[in-house]
Amino acid sequence: MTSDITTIEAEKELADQILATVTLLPEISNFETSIGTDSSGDAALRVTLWVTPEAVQQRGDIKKLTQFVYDVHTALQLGGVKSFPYISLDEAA
Amino acid sequence: VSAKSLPKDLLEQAKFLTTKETKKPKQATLRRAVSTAYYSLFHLLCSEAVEIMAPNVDENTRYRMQRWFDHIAMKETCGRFLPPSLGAPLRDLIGSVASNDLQRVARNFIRLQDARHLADYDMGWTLTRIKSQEFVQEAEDAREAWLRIRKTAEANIFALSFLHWKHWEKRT
Repeated sequence: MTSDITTIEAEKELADQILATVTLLPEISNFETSIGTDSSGDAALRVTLWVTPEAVQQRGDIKKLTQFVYDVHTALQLGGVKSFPYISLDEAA
Repeated sequence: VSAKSLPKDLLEQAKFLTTKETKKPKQATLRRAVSTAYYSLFHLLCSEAVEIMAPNVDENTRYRMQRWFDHIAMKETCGRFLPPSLGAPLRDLIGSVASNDLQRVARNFIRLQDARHLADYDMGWTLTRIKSQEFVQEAEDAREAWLRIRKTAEANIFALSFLHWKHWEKRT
């Protein structure tokens, strides 16, 4: 379990580095990575993409935002993240 | 009564739930939307897998077969079809990488199963409308991707793997 945590922490660091190079959509104000668990209870990398209040208010184009989620997933994989990243949109405060 | 349209109907219901309450949606409503979106994809893949395995059985037998599928085994199968690299049995069967459409189906199934689990069991999880809409969109994208590839060899192998993964280890 310790090695799992060490691995996932390294993955989180790598994800932070990769995401810092990704050009965010205007509708996304920021991102946040965290370590949690998946539905099996295993350590999991989670990424939240914060959608701006303006985009939320205007009921932003969900297809476009979801495509960006896929793009981020691909960027993380191509960048060397090996665990499955659970990425989701959420509303920025 | 035929349940053939169930996956599509569930998807439509999930979409409806994300927009039903225009001002401040209830957590219960958004959670049902996410859970329903997952089940729309789960039932689609189960029914399609049965169609591939036993296209000539009657409806009742079809529904009995659809009960053979296990959520966790399906999630594990999906993970095997995703990069960074496919394992040996799959490399022999479909090449070094699955198509983008199959990857989308597999990826979204894993994400939706995780979200379904949170929606149904984690009382501390807060859903916003946009988050629930994203998951419903992922179910729709996965459905569309599946319908594009359902007649391909890799889709057949994917569907068979839900129940028969260990058999791919055997060689001729």
